[in-house]
Amino acid sequence: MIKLVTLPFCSVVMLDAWNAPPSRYFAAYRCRGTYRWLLGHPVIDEFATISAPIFITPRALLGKIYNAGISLGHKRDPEMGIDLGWPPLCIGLDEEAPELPDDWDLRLLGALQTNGDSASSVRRKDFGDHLVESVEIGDAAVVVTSAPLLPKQLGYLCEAASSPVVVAVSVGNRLERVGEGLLRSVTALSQDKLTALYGVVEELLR
Amino acid sequence: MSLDRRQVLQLGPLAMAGVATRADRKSVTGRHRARDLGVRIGRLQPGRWNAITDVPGVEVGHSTIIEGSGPLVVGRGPVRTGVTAIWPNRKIRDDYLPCGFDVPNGNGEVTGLVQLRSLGILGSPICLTNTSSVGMVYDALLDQLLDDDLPAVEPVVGETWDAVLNDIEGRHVHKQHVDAALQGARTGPVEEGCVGGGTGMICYQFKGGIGTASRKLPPPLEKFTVGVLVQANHGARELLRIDGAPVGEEIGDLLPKEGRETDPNSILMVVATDAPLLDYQLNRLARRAGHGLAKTGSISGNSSGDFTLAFSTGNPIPRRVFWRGDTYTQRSIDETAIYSLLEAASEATEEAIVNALFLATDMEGRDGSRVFALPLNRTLEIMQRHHRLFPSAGEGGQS
Repeated sequence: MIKLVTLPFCSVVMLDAWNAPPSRYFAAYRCRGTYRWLLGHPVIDEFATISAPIFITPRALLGKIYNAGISLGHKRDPEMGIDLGWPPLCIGLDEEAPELPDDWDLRLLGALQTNGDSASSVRRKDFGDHLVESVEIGDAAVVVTSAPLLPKQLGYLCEAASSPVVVAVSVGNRLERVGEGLLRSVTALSQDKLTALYGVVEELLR
Repeated sequence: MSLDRRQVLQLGPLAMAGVATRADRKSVTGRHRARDLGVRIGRLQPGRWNAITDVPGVEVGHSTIIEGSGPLVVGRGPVRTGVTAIWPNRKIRDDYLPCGFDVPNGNGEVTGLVQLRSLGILGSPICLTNTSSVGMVYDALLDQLLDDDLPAVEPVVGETWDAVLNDIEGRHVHKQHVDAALQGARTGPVEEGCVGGGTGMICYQFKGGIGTASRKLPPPLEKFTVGVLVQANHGARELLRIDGAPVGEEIGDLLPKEGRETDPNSILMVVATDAPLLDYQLNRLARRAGHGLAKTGSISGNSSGDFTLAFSTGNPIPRRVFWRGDTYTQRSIDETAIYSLLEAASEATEEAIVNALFLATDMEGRDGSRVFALPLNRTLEIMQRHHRLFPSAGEGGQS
């Protein structure tokens, strides 16, 4: 599930290879208090899905990193699209930005194309047959689970975290393209199971 | 040859002029639905009944309470109110349905919105009534719901303000009225105008009330339908537009004679579809109902309580599985194919509001308040002049 790219000026949560075939995952986010440095969220608001890596960077670098995410999307498909890397979700951290090396963008795009590592900072817990992983970087927490969840259920999981900004993603429903007019099936957990999963996420983030 | 609206528009201005200058438009008597008189809103085709009941399983019933006349005596009347009940289907208590919502302006009440926000499910019939009767109707609906070992769901009740015509403080809607609306609900044609929760409502300062319309979806979703029902009690006269024609600007008279001052008020919009959609997709449909509302001239004013609910009958969730099961499956239409649903929600809402105006009749209420119905002949003349009138069913067009 979570593969992490870590650079001095940006961390990137990779859920798929950067050039994965068209697909999306259900996602939700929650911002608390005065937190406000988030780019790329309107597509989650409208379509409840994410198809790009999640970028986490000092807020002063948000524009530059967003731009790099767009470059990655164009590289994936010139038209991008909501299942082809648009828009990049970029989480800003209220902390000092490091000096950027001249070749920062090449280094970032190069690192993304390695598709990241299973970093030691990623915490994991089992949930029945499923897995829950989380990573916390500064004020941001990202929770990813293989349990099949609908967007509202992911929104509920976001409440289990105390971080100012939380993103939750379920890779248990991979939304691939379906022919026009065809129906897609997705799966959800019952409320009892969701409550149990909430407890697991709480423990994971404690 | 009969042409639908899209074909006529494609023929260009000359053809439009030919349609619009028909000299033989007959004077209309009585009240009729807009489409029956040649008003064709949008480009999609309506369902069989052009009503929310075109969505299989959806049933609508009204309890209309009209009693007394003269000066207001709180508790005695005059009474001009009621309740409208919508069954998403008769199994709603056992099988929840995904439901979304939108609030263009929130100076009003719809119960159950927290449940919709947190769970995205509808588990009760929907009732529409007047502002002061929400608690009573909510209480009556609770009796309809199952009380067992599973968590309870919230009844959904919406309101608009009918105090210009009605003794609203008298609380004349009682349990028996709710029960009668629920039990009397039917599929098929829906009674519109001054009925049910819409009995005492005012729309663009004409008599308003209940209206409905539907749209069949084009291929590849042709087996699905979107239906809308509104309780229309909103809008400033000058802003009223019917299919783009500035009807409100041109009919400046026939303003309500009110026993008390009132602001332009609120609207409740209920969108139903049998297309399988998830709750967040239904939020999107609900927002498009607001576009249909705007096309009739509303800007969802400061004092408005404008609410939309949107549910899908195509994704039932057995309630025991929802609460206590392991997993359940939902189907959904891909975002790439959802365009026609958004268009249908907007079109059907616009036409439902117009139908409420076309079917409502003059009404006198408390303290001599009098609200006039939209004058149909003048309206049709305006629409004809603005090239927005098409051949009606009786004139070789499509109904």
